[in-house]
Amino acid sequence: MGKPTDLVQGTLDVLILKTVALQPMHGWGIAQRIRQLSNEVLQVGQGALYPALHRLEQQGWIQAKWGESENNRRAKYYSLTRDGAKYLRQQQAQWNRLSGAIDLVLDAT
Amino acid sequence: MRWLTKLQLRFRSIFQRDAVEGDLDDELTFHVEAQIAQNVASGMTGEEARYSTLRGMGSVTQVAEQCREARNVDLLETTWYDLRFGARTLAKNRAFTAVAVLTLAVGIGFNTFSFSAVNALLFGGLPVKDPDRLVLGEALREGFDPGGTSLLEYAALRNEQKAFASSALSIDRSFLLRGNTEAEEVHAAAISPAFFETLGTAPILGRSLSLEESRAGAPAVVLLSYGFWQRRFGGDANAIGQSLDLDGRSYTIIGVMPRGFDYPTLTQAWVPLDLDPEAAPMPQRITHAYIFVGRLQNGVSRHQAEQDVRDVAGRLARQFPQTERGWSYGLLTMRQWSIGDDDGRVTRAIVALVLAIGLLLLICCVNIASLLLVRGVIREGELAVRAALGASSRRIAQQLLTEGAMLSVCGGIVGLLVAWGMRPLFRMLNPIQPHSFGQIVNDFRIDGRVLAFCLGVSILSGLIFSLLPTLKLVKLRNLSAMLRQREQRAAGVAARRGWLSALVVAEIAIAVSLSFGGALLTKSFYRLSGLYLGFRPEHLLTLQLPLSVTEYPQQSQKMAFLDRVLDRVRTLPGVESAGVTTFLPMQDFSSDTVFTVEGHPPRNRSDVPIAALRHVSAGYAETLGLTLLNGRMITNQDRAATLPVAVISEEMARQSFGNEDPIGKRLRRGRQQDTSYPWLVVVGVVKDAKEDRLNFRIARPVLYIPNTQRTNPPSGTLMGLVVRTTSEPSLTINAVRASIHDINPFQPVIKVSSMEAMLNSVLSADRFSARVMAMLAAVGLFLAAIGLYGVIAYSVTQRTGEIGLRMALGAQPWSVIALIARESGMLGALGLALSLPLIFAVARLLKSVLFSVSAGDPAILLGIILGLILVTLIASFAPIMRALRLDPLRSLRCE
Repeated sequence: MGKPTDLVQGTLDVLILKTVALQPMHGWGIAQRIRQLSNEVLQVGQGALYPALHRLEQQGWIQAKWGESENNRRAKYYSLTRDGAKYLRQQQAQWNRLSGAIDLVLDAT
Repeated sequence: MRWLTKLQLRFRSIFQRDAVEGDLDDELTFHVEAQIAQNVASGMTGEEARYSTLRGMGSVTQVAEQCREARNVDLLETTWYDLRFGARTLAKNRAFTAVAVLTLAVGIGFNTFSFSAVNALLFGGLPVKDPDRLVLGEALREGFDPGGTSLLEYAALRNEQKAFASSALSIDRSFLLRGNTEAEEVHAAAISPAFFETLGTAPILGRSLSLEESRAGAPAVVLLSYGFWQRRFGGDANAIGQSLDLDGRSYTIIGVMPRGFDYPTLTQAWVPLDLDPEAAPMPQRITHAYIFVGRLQNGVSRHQAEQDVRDVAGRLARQFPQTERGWSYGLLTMRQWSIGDDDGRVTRAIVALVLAIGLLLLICCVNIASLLLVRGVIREGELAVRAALGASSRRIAQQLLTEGAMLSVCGGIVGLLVAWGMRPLFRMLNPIQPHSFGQIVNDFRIDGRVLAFCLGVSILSGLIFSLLPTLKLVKLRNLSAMLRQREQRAAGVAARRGWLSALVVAEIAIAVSLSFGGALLTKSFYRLSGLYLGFRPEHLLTLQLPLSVTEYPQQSQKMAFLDRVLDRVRTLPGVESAGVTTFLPMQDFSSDTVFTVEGHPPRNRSDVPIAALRHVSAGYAETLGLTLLNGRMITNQDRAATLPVAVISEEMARQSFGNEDPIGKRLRRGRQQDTSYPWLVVVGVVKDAKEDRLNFRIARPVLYIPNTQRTNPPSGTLMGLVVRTTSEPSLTINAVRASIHDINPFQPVIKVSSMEAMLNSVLSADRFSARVMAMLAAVGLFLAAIGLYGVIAYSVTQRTGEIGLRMALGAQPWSVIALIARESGMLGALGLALSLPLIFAVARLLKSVLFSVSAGDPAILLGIILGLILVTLIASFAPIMRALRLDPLRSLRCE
């Protein structure tokens, strides 16, 4: 694993929520999917991942259920709740607005 | 719905902790294995894959910890854990826990109770408006001997002073109530018009007296007390308008007073006082028979009012020198009246007891503190290891705090039970004898504020001292230094021993002063109860007979009735003798008279000789067992027509005649210029008898006059009958009652008692103080002994090495004993020295209450010193034994 780019905690939350929105997944899977989707740029270590997952579960944006993984092992699957979906939409809109604004500043000549 | 899920999660985190932790483990394990699988898939060997994964993982425990924190149930979870752990720890050290909880319980319980009692007695609600603005007046002969108010004084007070917004007068009247049921005696009061208005109370049913009804000659009306109304009319509202036959006269009921109102003297009914204070005949105006009550003006203090009334009394004395000279005036608060504290002694005793119980709380706190201090030291090792394993200081502090709080709460609960249990005990001992409003003062509740205060104090002291070990820990966070550097440790230990010793010395000082107070009070009570009474109190049946004016309009008829009663009673089996008097010894009221001795004017011109006055039948003195010193007693030959005679007490003879023989000399009632009373010839002198309850501690002069020769008898009278029985008085009650009812079936017989019971009640306040103080002293000494034992035991434990070394080097057993005994002796001596200022304070406080005991009583002081030595020895016994049994080699090895 390469050196992970520093991510603001809130941003990690959004990434996790989005990943889980696409498909319910266990922790390992979420880390893999984020890596894949970001073309190997964003690599989330379990030191950041699992505390984030537990915090999100505690706040009620995601819910967990134990199930069977691909190779028939017992794994904890996370999925998005309805409140979580709403929160994700809000955060996504906010991110778009923010990054758009930053782009405008950086592109100024 | 989010909050519901959140709650469920939180619940699960707290109460199914193991399952949640297991889940986390599984989750992380799954992650690790998935990573390994991926590594293997990308070409590493199994070994390399595992190694690489684990290296990249970082600390799994830390991840788990972070997850745990993220779950955000930290405080709740840790508190729950602390509670369980604390409970286990406390249960393991049963002795420590028991002593700590009991000590706390004693301190909290006693104080809660005492403060609640004081709250009720001194600040409780009375069924009148602003009770603290109400004062009662009392005339003071020679400035100190209390008596009732006269009409003359009342008129002067009403007209001449400005301290009172309103005032009123009342006098006790006793009626015979006749109706369908058996005749009963009604204890009533005749009141002036502004009575209820002054007191600030109004009837709950019906109405109060109108001005017309208060005038002489108005139709007779009566107001009933709540209790009387309930009992006689069953609480029926239709009682208003009905009439009662009181002493043959019909009184219409116009109102019912509120519950608990029974002023002035457990009164059951109120009737108008049908006389005009200014128009009454002079002899009636100067009788000190009334109870004066006044409401202070706004802004006027009691002291100002007292000054005012004293001035009024002074002016009155100058205006009417023949009758009022020597009489001053003083004030009593309504509160004092409600706890029967006529001379301030009861209030002082209450304050003293509260202070003593407060000191006990101090001892308890000190004991708790030292207990926790010692515990903290013992646990230092454990705490150091925990700190080394990663527990933050905050976490350890939190755990110690929780433990301290648990201890305090347990102690508080047991303390509450103790306080609750003391209520019936107090009621049984019943030292307070209220004149009125008795229900309120006997019915107090445990005060929540007081409980909170006591709990707070105990918790505070517990917390402070359970936190000290943590502070030590913060300073020495280095574990190895903690365990290795003995010098540092020894210094710390010595400092702590200094704290402990200081605490125990303080404890001992307090306990010694409590013991001193207890010993003084006990000896005083002992002296009081051993006072020579002048009569034989055993086997004396007493009862009172109200003789109403309707039954016996003439004095001679009263005398005839009494003669018949005496004749009948004397013939009963089991009766030795019987007699009649106007006021029984130890009765709650007494009658006094001023008197003049022929040819012997008082030494000082301003002196007004006064004596207790008793009109007695023949046989009274013999029944009581009075000792005749000279002359003869009153006999049947003394009748209305024969020579007026008198029998005087020894003290009266001494005061009036000095060394001369009083037999044959003459004296008469009233002042020198007063000629309304006849001259009496002294025919006998008896040894002093305690006829007067209020003057129990001194020898009051007594004047006995035959009741057949009574001048100016009041229309209704209360006579007291004494019967000397051969066995227990209670066995003869029915026979005596039957005898009386054989003669007059309607005669009420009231206040049946025995002389011994009456005597008991006189000293109940002193008995109570002595017993309670002695108990407090015992508890205090016991706690101090425990504290001392704790310190000495701890010291021995710390010095095991030293003692072992000494013994190994050949020290004799007695030198070891001396070593330890010296330390405990030093502590005891310091405690004694520290207690000296406290002892002085106690002596000063109790001086006015003590009887024939001086504060510097050598027997008491010696006893206290010996007691302290004994306590010190007992406390040091076990540690000394333990030190002697030490194996020197073993103690040297395990440092």
